[in-house]
Amino acid sequence: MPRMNVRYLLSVLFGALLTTLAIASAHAQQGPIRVGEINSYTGPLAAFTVPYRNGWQLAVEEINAKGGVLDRPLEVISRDDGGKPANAIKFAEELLRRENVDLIAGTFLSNIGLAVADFANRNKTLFVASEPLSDAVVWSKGNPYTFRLRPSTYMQAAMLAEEAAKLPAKRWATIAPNYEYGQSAVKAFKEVLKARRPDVEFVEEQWPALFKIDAGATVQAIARAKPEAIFNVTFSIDLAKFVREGQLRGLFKDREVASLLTGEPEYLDTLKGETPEGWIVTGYPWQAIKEPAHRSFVDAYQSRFDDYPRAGSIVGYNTILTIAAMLEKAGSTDTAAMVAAMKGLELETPFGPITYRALDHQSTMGAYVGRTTKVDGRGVMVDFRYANGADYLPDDATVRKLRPGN
Amino acid sequence: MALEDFVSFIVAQAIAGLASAASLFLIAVGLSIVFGVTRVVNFAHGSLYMLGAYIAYSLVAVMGDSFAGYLLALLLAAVAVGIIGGVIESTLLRRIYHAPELFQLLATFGVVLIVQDLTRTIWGPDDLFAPRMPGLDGAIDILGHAIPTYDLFLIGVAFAVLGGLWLLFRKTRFGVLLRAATEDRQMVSALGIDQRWLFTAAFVLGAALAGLGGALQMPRQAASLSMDLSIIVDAFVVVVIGGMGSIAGAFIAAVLISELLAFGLVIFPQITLVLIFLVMAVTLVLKPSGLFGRPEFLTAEDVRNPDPPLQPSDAIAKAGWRVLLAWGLVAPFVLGEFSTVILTEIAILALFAASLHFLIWGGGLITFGHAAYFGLGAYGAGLAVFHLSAGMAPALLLAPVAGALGALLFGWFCVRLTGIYMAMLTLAFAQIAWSIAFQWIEFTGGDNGILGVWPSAWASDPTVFYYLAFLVCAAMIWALRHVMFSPFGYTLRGTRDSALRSSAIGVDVMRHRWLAFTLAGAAAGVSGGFFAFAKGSVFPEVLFVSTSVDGLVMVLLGGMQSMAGPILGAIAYTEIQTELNRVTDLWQLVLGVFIVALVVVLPRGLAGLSALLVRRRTS
Amino acid sequence: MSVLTVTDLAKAYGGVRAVDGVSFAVEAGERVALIGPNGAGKTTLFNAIHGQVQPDAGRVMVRGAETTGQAPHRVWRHGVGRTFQITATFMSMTVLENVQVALASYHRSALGLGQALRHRYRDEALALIAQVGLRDAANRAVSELAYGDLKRLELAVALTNAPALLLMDEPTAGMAGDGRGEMMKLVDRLVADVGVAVLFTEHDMDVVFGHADRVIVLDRGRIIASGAPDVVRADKGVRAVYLGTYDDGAVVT
Repeated sequence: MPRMNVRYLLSVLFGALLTTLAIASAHAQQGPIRVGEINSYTGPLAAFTVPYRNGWQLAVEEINAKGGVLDRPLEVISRDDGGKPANAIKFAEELLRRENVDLIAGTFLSNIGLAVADFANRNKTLFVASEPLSDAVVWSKGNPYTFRLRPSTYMQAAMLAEEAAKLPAKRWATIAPNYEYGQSAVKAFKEVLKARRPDVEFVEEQWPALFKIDAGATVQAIARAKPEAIFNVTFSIDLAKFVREGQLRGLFKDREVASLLTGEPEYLDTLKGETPEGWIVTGYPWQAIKEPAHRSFVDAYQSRFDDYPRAGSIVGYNTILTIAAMLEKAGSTDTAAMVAAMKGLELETPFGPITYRALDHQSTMGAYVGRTTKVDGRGVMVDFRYANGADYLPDDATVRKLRPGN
Repeated sequence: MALEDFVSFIVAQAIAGLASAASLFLIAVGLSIVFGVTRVVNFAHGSLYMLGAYIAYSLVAVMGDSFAGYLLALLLAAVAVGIIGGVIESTLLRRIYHAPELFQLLATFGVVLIVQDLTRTIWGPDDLFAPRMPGLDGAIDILGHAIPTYDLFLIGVAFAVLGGLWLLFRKTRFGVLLRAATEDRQMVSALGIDQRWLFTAAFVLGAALAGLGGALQMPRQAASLSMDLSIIVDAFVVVVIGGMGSIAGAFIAAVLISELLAFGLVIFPQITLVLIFLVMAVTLVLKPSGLFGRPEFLTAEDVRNPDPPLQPSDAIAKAGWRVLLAWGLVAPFVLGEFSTVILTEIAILALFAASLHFLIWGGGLITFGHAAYFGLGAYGAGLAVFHLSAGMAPALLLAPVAGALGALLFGWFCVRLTGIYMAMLTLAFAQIAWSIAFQWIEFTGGDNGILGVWPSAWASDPTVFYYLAFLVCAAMIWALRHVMFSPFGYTLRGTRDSALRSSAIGVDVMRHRWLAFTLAGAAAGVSGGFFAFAKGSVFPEVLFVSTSVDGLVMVLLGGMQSMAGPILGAIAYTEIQTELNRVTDLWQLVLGVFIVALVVVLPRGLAGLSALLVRRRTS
Repeated sequence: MSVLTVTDLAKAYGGVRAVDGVSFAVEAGERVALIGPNGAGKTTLFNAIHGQVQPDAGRVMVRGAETTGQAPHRVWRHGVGRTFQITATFMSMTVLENVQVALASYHRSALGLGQALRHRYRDEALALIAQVGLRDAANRAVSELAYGDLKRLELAVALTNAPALLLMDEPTAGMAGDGRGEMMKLVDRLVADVGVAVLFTEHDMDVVFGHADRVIVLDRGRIIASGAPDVVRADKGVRAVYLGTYDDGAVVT
C-alpha cells in the first residue's frame, strides 16, 4: 500500500525533524554570571510567584546598575515548572546542561524545592532554595549544596506557638490541609507549645484535603469540640472559605486563633472585608515596617512595578541579594568556593541582617508576628514585631540529629 | 442534653452537606445534560464554572451593593457563560461531533488550557474574594447552631433548578426534544429536527448551569485559577454515580457525596479525598451504569468509522522504523548534552503513550486513569529504593510488576464495565492510588515524595542512562506492536470491533480485556520506573489525572490509527512543552490553541498529516 | 441423542413472560424454523439458548451436556455457532482475519503472544471462506463488503468450530430476493454436507416453508404449534395468531 509507506516515512522524518529543530544547543557565554531560576509561574500559584519574580528582577536591575558582581553583570535565566516537580527537574537539567548556569535558585512548592535540592546534590551544583517551606529541605533531606532563605514551617509555627503559650487557652483545635506542609506545621506547633505549656490539650483535629475544604461542615465539627483556641494552617482559597464560614457560624467568637502565614499580603489581601479580627499571625506588614532599608525597598518596588510588595517580593529580592553577597565573598563562580561562601554568609536585607547558618544551611531571615485587624475594609497586621529566625530554631544538638546527612 | 446536642449537630451537619450538594448539583447537572444530548465528554465544563465565578466577581463589584443587584450579577454571569458556551459549541464542537469521542475530549482539554491562561491574563493571578450577599450575609439559629442564610438560599436555588429542569424536560417541546435526544438519537433525526440547533441549545443550557454554579459560589469562596480542574473531576464523579444523562441522578448523587463528606470528616477527617472515589468505585461495581443511568450508553461498539485492517510493515515502513531507531542511537552524539535528557524523557513517555495506545486502539478500552500504572511503576521503583535500599536494576524489575499487579487488581473491576463508565472507573482507581500516595506520608513520603532515586553508578552518566532507557523502551514498544499482530492482539481487536461476535466464537471477552489491562499496566510500569530514575524522585503527581491526560494528549496528538502515533505524540508534546516554556508564560494558551486547531484540521493526528499531504498531492 | 434439547425454558422481563415454559428438541441434520409474530419471544429464546440472557427456569442441553445459563463463549465450546439478525463481524479486519481470529479461539490459542496471526490457520480459513463463496474477497476489508457478503462471512465464522448446531437469527434479513435464495441454498448444502443442525428464525414465509424440515410457532412466549411445514400451515391456531400480523395468504400459500 503506497499510502502507508509514505505515511510511515514522513512520520519518521517529521519526528526526527522536530527533535533536531528543538535541540539547538546554546554555548557557554563568558560575559554575565548566569543564575538558573525555576518557579511555578503559571497556574494557581502565579499569585505567589509573580510578586516573587518582581522582587528578584528589581534586585538584579539594582545590582547590574551598580556594575554587577565581580565586575560581571548578573543574568537570571528563568523557567516555569507549571507546579510539577518532574518539569522542574527537566528545566534544572536544561539550565545546567544547555544554559550552563553557575547555580540554581528558586522554587515555591516544597516538593519541587526538595526535588531540585536532590538534583543539585546529585549534580554538585549550588541551589539557593528561596521559598519552599518544608523543614526537610534543610533537615531530614538536607544536603551540602542546598541553602534555604525563607523561614521554614517549623520556625513560623514556633513563632506562633510562642505567642500561643502566652494565652490562657488550654483546649486547642487544629485545622490543616492534609499533606506534608499541614502535617509538619501542626506537629511543630504542638511540639513547641507543649514544651512551653504542658497543660494544653488538643481536642480536635481537622484535615481537609488541600483546596477542597468542606468549610461549613468542618467549622461545625471544630465548634462541636468546644475548643478555647484554634491553630490554623489552611491558606489561599481554603482559608477564605474557612474564614467566611467560621465568621458566619460564630466559630471565632470568644476564641483565639493562631494562623500560619495569614498575615502575608498574598493571603490577607484576598480576605478584604472578611478579615478576621485579632488573629495571631505570621506575615509581612509591608505598609507599616518603618526601618529605612525596608522603606527604600518598598519605594523602589512601587516605582518599578506600580504595585506594592508581597511576602514573595521580599523573598525574591533577598534571593538575589544572597547570591550577590555570596559571589562577592566567594570571589568566583566555582561551586566549591560558592558553597563555602554560603556557609555562614552574612548580609544586609530590608529585614535587617541575616546569616546562612553553617550548621544546617538555613538562613535566619525571620517573619513578623502580630494580630490582624481591618482598616478601611482591608486586612492589616497590628501590634507586630519582627521575629528573628535565629531565635526560633532548635538547639544545635537537636538540629544535628534532625539533619542526618551532615 | 447530650442527645439533644447530638441531634442538633446532625441536623446542622446535614444542612451544611446540602449546601455543598447544591453547588455540586448545579455543575454536575449541566455536564450530564451536555453529555446526554451531544455525547461529548466536556472537560472544559470546569472552566465554564470558573468563568462563571470570575465574571460574577466582576459584576458584583459593579452592581452588588443590594440584594437585587447581587442576584442580578449572578444571573448575568450565568447568561454570559451560556453565551460563551454557545460560541465554543458553534465554532469548535460542532465541527467534531463525528470525530471519535476521545478527540472531542482532547478538544475540550485544549479549551481548558486556553481558558486557564485567558482568565489569568484578564483577572490576574490573585484569588478574588467577593463580599457577602447583601440580605443573606448573616446566619440564623437552628437548634442552637448558626446556619448561614446564604446556605439555605443556595439549597433553595438547587431545588428550584431541579424543579425548573423537571418542568422544562417534561412540559416543553424543547425539553421533550432534549430528552428524546438523550434517550434515542435516531428518533430525533427521524422527527426531522435540526440536530445542530438542539445540540447548541443543550450546550448553552449546560454552560449556563455551570456558570450559575460558579457564580453562586462567589459569596462562599474566592474565585481562583484552580477552580476548573478541582471541580471537574468531582463533577464527573457525581454524573457517573448518578448515571450519565440523568438529572435526578445528578441530584441524588450530589446529595449522597456531600453528606458523606460532611459526616465523613467528623469520623475520618483524614480520608475525605479517598471517600468519594471509593463511593464511585463501589457504585459502578454494583450498578455499572450508575444509579439512574441507561444501559444503552454502555455500548462501546463504534461501527461508524472502522479502522482499516492492520498492515504488517512493508519495506519502506521497516526502513522508517530503522531510521527512527538509528536516529535514537546516534542522536546523543549529534545533539548537545541536554538533548540526551530530553530524549530520555521522550523515550519513556513514548512507551507510556504506546501502552495507552495499546489499550485504546488495540482493545477499544478507553481509560482516563492510565497514570495509575505509570505511577505504580514509579512508586514501585522508588519505594524499593527508599524502603529496601534496592539498586537500580532490581528496582526497575519491580516497576513492571507493580504496574501489572495494579492493573490486575483495578482491571478486574474495570473490565466489567464499558465505554465512558469504564473510563471513569479507571479514573476513580487512579485517583484512589493518588490520594493514598498523597496522604499516606509514613509510607510514600506524601507530597514531599521519595527522593534520591538516582541511577546506579554505572548508569549515572546521562548518555548511558539514555541508552538504557531508549533500548528498553524501544524493545517494549516493539513488543507491544508485536502483540497487536499476535493472536492475542487480533482477538483483542475483535473484542473492540464486536464483543458480541467475540463471545459467540468462544472468546471470554472480560478475561481477554483484563489480560490486556495487565499487559499495558506492566508496560506503563516499566516507563514509570524509568521515569523515577530519570527524575531522581517520585511524587504523587505521577498518579494524578493530569498524567493520564498527558498520556491521552500524546496518543491523540500523534494519531490513533498508526503504530507510530504514540511515538510522534511523545516527541511533539515533550518538545512543544519544553520549547514553548522558554519563549512565553502563556504556553498553556499556545498549546491549547494548537490542540484545538489540530483536532479541527487534523483529526487523525500528526501521523495523519502525512496521509493528508499524500492525498492532496495525488488529487 | 438430540443436538439441542430445551426443557421448560422460561424468561420474564418485569411482568412480561417473554419465554414461558418452552420445550423442544433439534436433531442432527435437521433444519428447524422458529416463527411467530413480533414480540413472540423468538429472540429471547435464542439468547437464552446461546447464553446471552440467563433463563429464569428450565434447562438447555447441547449434545447431552447441560449448558443452561452458561455464557456464550462457553456454549460455543459445546459446538454451537451463531449468526445475528444484524451481522456482528470484526469491521476493522479482512475477511480472512475474521475467520483466523475465530480459528485461533477454536484452537485455544487466542491468548498466544507469539507468531503473528496472519501466518496461522491460513489454509483452514481459506477453505471455510471458499465454502461460503467468498474466496475472491478473502483479503478485502470487511467494512467494504456488501451486506449479503457479511452474512456469508458470519456463516463462515460460525462454522469454525465445526458446530453441531447453528443458531441463525434471521439469516436472510436485509437481503434482496436473489440473495435470500442463495443464502438458504448455502445452508441447505451445509446441512447435507456436514450434518449440522440449524435452528433459525425467519420472517420470510417463503424461506421458512421452502427450507425448514420442521416449524415451531411461538406466540407470547409459548409454543402454539410444531411440526412439518404443511401441518403447521394448516393449523387453525397459527392462522389466528398471524391474522393481522401477516395477511392470511402469506401463511396459506
